[in-house]
Amino acid sequence: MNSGPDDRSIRFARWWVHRYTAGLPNHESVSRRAEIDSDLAEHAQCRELDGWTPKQITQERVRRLVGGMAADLGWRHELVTGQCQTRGLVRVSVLSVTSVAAVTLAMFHFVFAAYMLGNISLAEQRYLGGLDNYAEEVGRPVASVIAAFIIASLGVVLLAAGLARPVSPVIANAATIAIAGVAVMFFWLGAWPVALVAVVGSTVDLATRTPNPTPQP
Amino acid sequence: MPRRRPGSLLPLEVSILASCLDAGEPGSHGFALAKAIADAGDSRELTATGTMYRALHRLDAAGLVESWWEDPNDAADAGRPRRRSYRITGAGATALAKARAEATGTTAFTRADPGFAT
Repeated sequence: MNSGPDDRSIRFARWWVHRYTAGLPNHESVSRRAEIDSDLAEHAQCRELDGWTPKQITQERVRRLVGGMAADLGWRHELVTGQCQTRGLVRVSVLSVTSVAAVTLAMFHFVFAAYMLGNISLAEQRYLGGLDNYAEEVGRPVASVIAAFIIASLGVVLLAAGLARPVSPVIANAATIAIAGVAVMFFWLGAWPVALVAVVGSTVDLATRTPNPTPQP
Repeated sequence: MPRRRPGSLLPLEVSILASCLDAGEPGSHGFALAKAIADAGDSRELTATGTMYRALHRLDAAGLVESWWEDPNDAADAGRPRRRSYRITGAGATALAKARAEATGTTAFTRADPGFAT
């Protein structure tokens, strides 16, 4: 096999194989890596015998590698979905369920954050005439909005977890589930009760309070 | 990649099966198959690595080819990584014959094989 600068293309090829076989069953990933290793060696040897220069060999190696990247990802996808089918599981796939759940929750968070933004906007309009304790009056909605943004940021994490696996196949299912799981745990254990209290409190407060009709000088 | 009808073969898969048939009982490894296909075609471009091994994986899973790994000692003696060889099965030969029959008179195939209509 070539040496020197051309080794970079071989290293790149091996790196790529490691990436798209990551998280697959051991026998599949080991087998594919060994097969590509063999292919690289056979290719270099064959072209050297044909009298090709190292540069030409490298160019063809890279061309073959890049040209097959989509197929590599397709092969991985076939393998992952095929495993679910051969296991005979009723579930569609862990990936799909995780993604849909995460994206749904994320959308819910964004709507919630938007609602809280509207809430503080209402509060500002209602007290626009002026209050001596304006800061205190809008303080609670502000806290609610901060809480909503925290929740929305968790929504971003969920969204990332939901989209990560389909977009980037090198992320293993376990990692996706872990990300989504941690985000959901924080959401349900922490931010959600706090935000719920905040939004109920601010809504009741705004509904029962009569705005001051006369601006303060 | 073109969509396929159930049970039909893609052109690359037909070429692989034909090359496996040519290789006979000893079988042939992935790169040798890619080279054989390129040599038989007009472009002489080697099939992309991922495309080639994905197709081989599909054919293997469908039982149209069978594969086995070379003995590690043989590979070590030759000073190269182990080869994975492929050999056409009876089902593969039948599928190839069927694909050739369908191709005859309907599609000009690039493979320089007497069994193909050109």
